[in-house]
Amino acid sequence: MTVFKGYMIIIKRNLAFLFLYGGIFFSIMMGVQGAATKTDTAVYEKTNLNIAVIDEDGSAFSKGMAEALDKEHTIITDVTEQRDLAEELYYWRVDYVLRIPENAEALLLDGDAALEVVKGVSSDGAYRSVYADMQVDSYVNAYRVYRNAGMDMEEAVEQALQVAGKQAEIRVRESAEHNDKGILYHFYFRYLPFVLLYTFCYIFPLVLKNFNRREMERRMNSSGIPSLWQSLQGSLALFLFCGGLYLLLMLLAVVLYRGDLLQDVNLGYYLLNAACLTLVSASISYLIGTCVKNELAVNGIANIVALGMSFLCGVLVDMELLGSGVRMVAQFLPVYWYETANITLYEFGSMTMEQRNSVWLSIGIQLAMAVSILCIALIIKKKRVKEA
Amino acid sequence: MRHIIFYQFLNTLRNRVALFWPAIFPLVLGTLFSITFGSAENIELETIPVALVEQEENIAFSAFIDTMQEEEENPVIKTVNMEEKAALEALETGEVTGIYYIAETPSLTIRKNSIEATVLDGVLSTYLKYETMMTDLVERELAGYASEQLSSGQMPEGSPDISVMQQTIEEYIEEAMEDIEETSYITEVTLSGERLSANMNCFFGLIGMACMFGCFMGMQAAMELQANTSSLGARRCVSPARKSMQIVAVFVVNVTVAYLCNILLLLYLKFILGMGFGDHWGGMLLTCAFGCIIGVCMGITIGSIGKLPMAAKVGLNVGITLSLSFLAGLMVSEMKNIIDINCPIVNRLNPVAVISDAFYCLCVYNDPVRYRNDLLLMALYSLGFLVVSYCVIRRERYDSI
Amino acid sequence: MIEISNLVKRYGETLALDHLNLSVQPGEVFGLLGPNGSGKTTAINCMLALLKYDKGEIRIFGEEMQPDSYESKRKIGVVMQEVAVFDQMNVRENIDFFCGLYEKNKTVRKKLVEEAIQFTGLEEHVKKKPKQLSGGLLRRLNIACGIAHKPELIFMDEPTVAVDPQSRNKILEGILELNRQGSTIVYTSHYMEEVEQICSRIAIMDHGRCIASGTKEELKNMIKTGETITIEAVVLSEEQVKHIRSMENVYEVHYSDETLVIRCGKGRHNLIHVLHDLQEQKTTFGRVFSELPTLNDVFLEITGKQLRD
Repeated sequence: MTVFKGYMIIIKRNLAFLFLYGGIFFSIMMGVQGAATKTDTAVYEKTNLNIAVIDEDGSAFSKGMAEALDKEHTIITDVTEQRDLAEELYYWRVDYVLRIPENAEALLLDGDAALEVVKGVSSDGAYRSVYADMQVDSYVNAYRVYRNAGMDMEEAVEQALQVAGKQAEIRVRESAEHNDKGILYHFYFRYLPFVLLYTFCYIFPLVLKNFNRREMERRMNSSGIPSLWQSLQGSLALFLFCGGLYLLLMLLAVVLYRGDLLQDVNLGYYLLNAACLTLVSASISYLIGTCVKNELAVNGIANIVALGMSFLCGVLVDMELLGSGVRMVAQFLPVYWYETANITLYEFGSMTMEQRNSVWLSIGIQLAMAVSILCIALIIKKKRVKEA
Repeated sequence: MRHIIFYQFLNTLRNRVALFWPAIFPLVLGTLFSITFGSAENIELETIPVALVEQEENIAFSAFIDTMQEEEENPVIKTVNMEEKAALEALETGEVTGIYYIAETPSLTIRKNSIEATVLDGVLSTYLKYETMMTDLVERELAGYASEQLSSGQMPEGSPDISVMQQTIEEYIEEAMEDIEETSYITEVTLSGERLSANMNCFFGLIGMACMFGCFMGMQAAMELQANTSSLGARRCVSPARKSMQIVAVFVVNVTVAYLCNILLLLYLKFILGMGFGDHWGGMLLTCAFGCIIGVCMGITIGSIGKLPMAAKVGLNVGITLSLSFLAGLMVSEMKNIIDINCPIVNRLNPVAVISDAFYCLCVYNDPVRYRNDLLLMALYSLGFLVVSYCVIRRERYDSI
Repeated sequence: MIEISNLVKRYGETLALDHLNLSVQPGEVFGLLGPNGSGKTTAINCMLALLKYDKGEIRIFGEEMQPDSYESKRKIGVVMQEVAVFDQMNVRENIDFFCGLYEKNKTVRKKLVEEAIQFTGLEEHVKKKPKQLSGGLLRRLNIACGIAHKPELIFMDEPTVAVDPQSRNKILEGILELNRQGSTIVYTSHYMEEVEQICSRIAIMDHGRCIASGTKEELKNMIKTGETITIEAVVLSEEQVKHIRSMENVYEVHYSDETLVIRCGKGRHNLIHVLHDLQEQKTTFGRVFSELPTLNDVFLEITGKQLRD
């Protein structure tokens, strides 16, 4: 296993780069995870917004509207200048700006104008302000109905406010077997493709370039060892290295989440899913390292592969936010199947047969893709060696 | 000088690999963003499966739920009547997203926070509000009707004509429901009048990152100019062409090419992907110019470190650029705001964040004062990086080659 | 043209140049010979003001050589040990670029570029990029880039490394032609045959010092060895070997594997005496070689090791 030993020596010499790249991407991953867990929660909450109301009307109707919003949100009335508003919106001190125009009642009920709203920005900004939109619409609708029923403005406002105060009772049922701290390591596993793909895509080419040089290929090709056996030995060395990294990452997860992770009923599946991801990331990186020799070119492709899959397959953007078209395309990418399994493992404590089968299917597809990609890489390498 | 500039342009434009970073990669990433975020903003919800558990009779709620399922194509919800135990199991296994308990006051049980749960909550809240409204109106109408009947002497106390009342109530509710607008009273605007995308942070972070990607060209240029990094650099160092002139030429060419790549990106984002940047071209171009200077100079500084191998230099460039971009909101759009709240100095020191901020002020919040401050900061960083990179690359004698 | 006095250069603890003294006269081909690690390239880089040195003085064209000695640099051409060309430019563009750093006039430069292409025999390859050239052609391109502007002083740092014999001969002929045209050449190599072939004056370096310098003849005269006689396929007894050792002018004898190597001093007819002696003893022998001393012998005698160790 001389070739295997050779690869291991080169890998050992490049360990500094492993720690450099791995450290950088792991830190980014933890930062992303930290930011994501802040803005997502397992407990269902109605979002309380800071709403700035610019009341240019001053009537009971407009004041009632502010009061309707005040029932579930925090109303800010002292910020009216555009510049100040911009500042407040930018720093998330104000999430929602509502401008009620003069003579609002007549304008709205006649359909001549609409209420202008400026919404603060966040990745789920479209959904955080949905409630506020619905509440404003409910209030105006209720007001309209009461007015048409013959009430005067004050009465209609009073009644509309009562209507606006009605809230639905929501209960969240947590699975008894499922860890409610699962969100933390769910995100750890969710962002794993990011760090694995990036690290492997940088390290593999570094190692493989030592063996991919034309002169080196010629020299090794003229030795007594068949080229396929050489490639297999090389792959074995690289995959062993990946195994080491996988163990390190799993160990880190256990250290970070300790009992919470170890008590999860689906721990075995998590580890298996992550192992498959490691294999498939390794295959992809091996293919890149085999085909691409220039260091800068490797960087470009590594970034496209890693970031591209991270966005398309539900790593950096929540899977449920992806459209059907994107998901259809993503199904051809192995990370999609990893994330699908990951979501199932997180959402369901003891899985049904069907859910278990879907997880096994995801794992199976990942393995199949890993093997296919590896075969393609070996074929390309063999062809290149022949041409050399 | 013209001779050096001409050949430097030739060399840079033919170096497709180094050009890939500032030219192609941001376009690819922008397209990816547009696909994923665009689909997220225009998400089409599938019909949500809900279990119905009847605890008490509530005809109005049942009728309301039936109305929500009337749409043949893609109704909002699809309900299944179940016993509570079966419903809870179905909730557990994900067969249903929520359980509506039919009672005098209906309630909802969900398994986790999600968009579907939000929709179910919205449906229930809407029902409750309408129910309150209608009940109140009907009671008033009934009270008014009864009082009318009494005063006209047509109806004795204690014996109302139910059928007449029912017809009146139904007519009344129908009339009242017609008053309820189906469309929203709200129109969303931005302070500057532009349409706001919830993920603008990512796109502005992308522009900032694209500016910084000039560092790869700067790195390559530095390695070709330093005697301790390449033999080509040594040959150039022993020539009579002044080193300062060569540095200026290299710098001008690389910043120009990086800048052109950024302009390409801006045009692509605005006209092909349809981003709402407005028409603040002057400000955007000026911001990009500073960004490119910072990026190229950073690359020159890193490329001039003699002892590091190429792989390490590339790794440094990638690591720094990605980290700064991540902190500026490239991957998680809230990141920049989180840092602004908890440790704002980081955003002031991060050139990508400053560039992103400048774009925000220009395109979204229309805040000229803040924009001017960002510009001053970028000018300062540009000058700083210029001085550092010039001092580093200007070194004419080396301890070791 | 070049005066180096007491040059000292350290890389950390390692003394790369140890009080080096050298002088190069105008019009000569000056060879700097020495094994790998002797300090040849370091000396060149110091002369070109690329490297800082700890002590000493370097004067070229009568001026102290500094990084901003642009007037002196204008008259210097450099052929680096490693190929120093742009991968993205073709042959003509590379030569034009580097020539343009020395010659600003476009018309003059165009002529110089053409001459350089012809001089190095690259006419058929002008549109090719460096990656498309063989090793020998690449080296020729490297030389063309260094000499296109017709400098008065040319530094060539091992320009024939990894080059095929045909290209090597062409390069060496080219160097001699450049010298005939008036350029002074400083040529470093660890191939003594090349140095012997083209250099008018040679300095031998080892461990950062110049251990000997002069013309070929002067260097060879420094050593005892006048002639080395090699006789193959000869069977000798211990006594016979002793007898040969005791002969006049013989100062060293090696005998192993039926091969006899005799080093003789500067005398005449050494070969005849040895052969006569063997014939008298009726000893048969195979092939006979007689070699005059080489630079390797000079190096060996002075340092006790082979030039290529």
